[in-house]
Amino acid sequence: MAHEFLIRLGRGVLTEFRRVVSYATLAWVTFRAVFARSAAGRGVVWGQAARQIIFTGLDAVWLVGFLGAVGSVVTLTAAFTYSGGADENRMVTDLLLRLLVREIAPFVTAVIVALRSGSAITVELGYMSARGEVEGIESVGIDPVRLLLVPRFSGMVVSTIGLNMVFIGAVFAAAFGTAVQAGVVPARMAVVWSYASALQPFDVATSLAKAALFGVTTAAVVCYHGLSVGGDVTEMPRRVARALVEVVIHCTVLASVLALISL
Amino acid sequence: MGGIDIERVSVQRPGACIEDVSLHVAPGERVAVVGSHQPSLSVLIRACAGFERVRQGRITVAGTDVGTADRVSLLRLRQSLGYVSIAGGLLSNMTLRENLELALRYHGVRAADARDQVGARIDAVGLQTDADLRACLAPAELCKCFAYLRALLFEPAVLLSEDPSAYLHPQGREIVAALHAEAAARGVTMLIADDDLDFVRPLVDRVVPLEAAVEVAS
Repeated sequence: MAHEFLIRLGRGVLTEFRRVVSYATLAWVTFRAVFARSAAGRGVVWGQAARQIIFTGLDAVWLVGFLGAVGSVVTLTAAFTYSGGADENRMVTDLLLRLLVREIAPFVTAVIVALRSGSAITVELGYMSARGEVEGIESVGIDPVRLLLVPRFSGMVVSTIGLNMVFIGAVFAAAFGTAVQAGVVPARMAVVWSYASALQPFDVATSLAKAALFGVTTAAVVCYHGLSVGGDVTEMPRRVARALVEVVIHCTVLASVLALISL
Repeated sequence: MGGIDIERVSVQRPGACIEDVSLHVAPGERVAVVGSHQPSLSVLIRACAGFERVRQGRITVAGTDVGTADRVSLLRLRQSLGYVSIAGGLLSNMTLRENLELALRYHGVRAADARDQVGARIDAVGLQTDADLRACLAPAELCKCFAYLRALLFEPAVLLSEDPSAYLHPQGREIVAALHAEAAARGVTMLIADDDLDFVRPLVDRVVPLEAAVEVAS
């Protein structure tokens, strides 16, 4: 019984490991194609990337800003309810701001990008794969890595970083508004700057680096599952669901590992 | 001009396989492989284009061993050969015209020149009224004709076609036959696979039943 359980566990771990290696390989192949010296399709590829950034990034600005602001208001209001005194409130605000910026912002942004664009990319690549469109472009000498993966990867990474900054901005503005409303701080610009200075450049840099890493992870997972649909269209719903769940799992694990490293 | 050499090739995929097939297509020659099981015929053409892994044997197309060629070499080879799949494989989120322009623009042709070149090709076959339909909304017959136009855009030395008669009504058949004749006049080597002998016979110099290709090997 125990022996069987160990065999099953071992197989499971090995399968997961293989899949992670596949994601890493896909990301590496795409990364190399981004910096390849080949001029083939440069205009077409970067035009597609710009469109991807508009769809993934610009179109989601209001959603991300709204969620950042609401998250900030809810968290700070709850914190002010439990803490007492101006000093304690100020300390709580600093702590929560850093927590929201360093840990929550990149994770929430990656999840929003995965839900909005990741699912769309998995479906789009899945259909292309099932309808023989990937082979169709290859048949005229077009590199599918350059035409299909480079725009989607670069679009998702740039958008995740950009949306992360929007999230941080919204968190910060809403936090200040909440603090003023709660009477914790006076509504003066000097106070705004003192709050800004509480946020170290290292915190922001860490947040952006995490956003980039989560962006690459999200892109690799959703593209991999899209291209894995093969000739069977009925695979699509299963692939989309798996891709989204895996994005959440991988980003959570990465966030935990990075948090432990930075202890 | 490149020829095609298929030496004792076996390929297997779900629902189709070929075993121990050998065939030689000389440069400029036009050959049709026919049989009753289209999926197996298609597997042979797909293997020649490097889209199926050859389990055994060797396929050489225009001097390139497609079984051992790496991804970059295959992409380079495909630029010099035309390949038409059964359904055409056009990008469904683009118009039929854009599908053709994309191929040219990717390979460095300026957008305006690509538009002119593609426009001239489309006008030549009389399909200009349908060219701005999105591929996902276009009838299968139109997609097939445009897939042929795309395959012949770069004036390839070799043309591979899986089931050219599939999806085609009489008008589409005429267009495809005319494109084959035009390619033949340029001396293009052709290997096509079809289960419709009446359609392919006038397009080629030689018709080889798939079973005969196996017998040649044994």
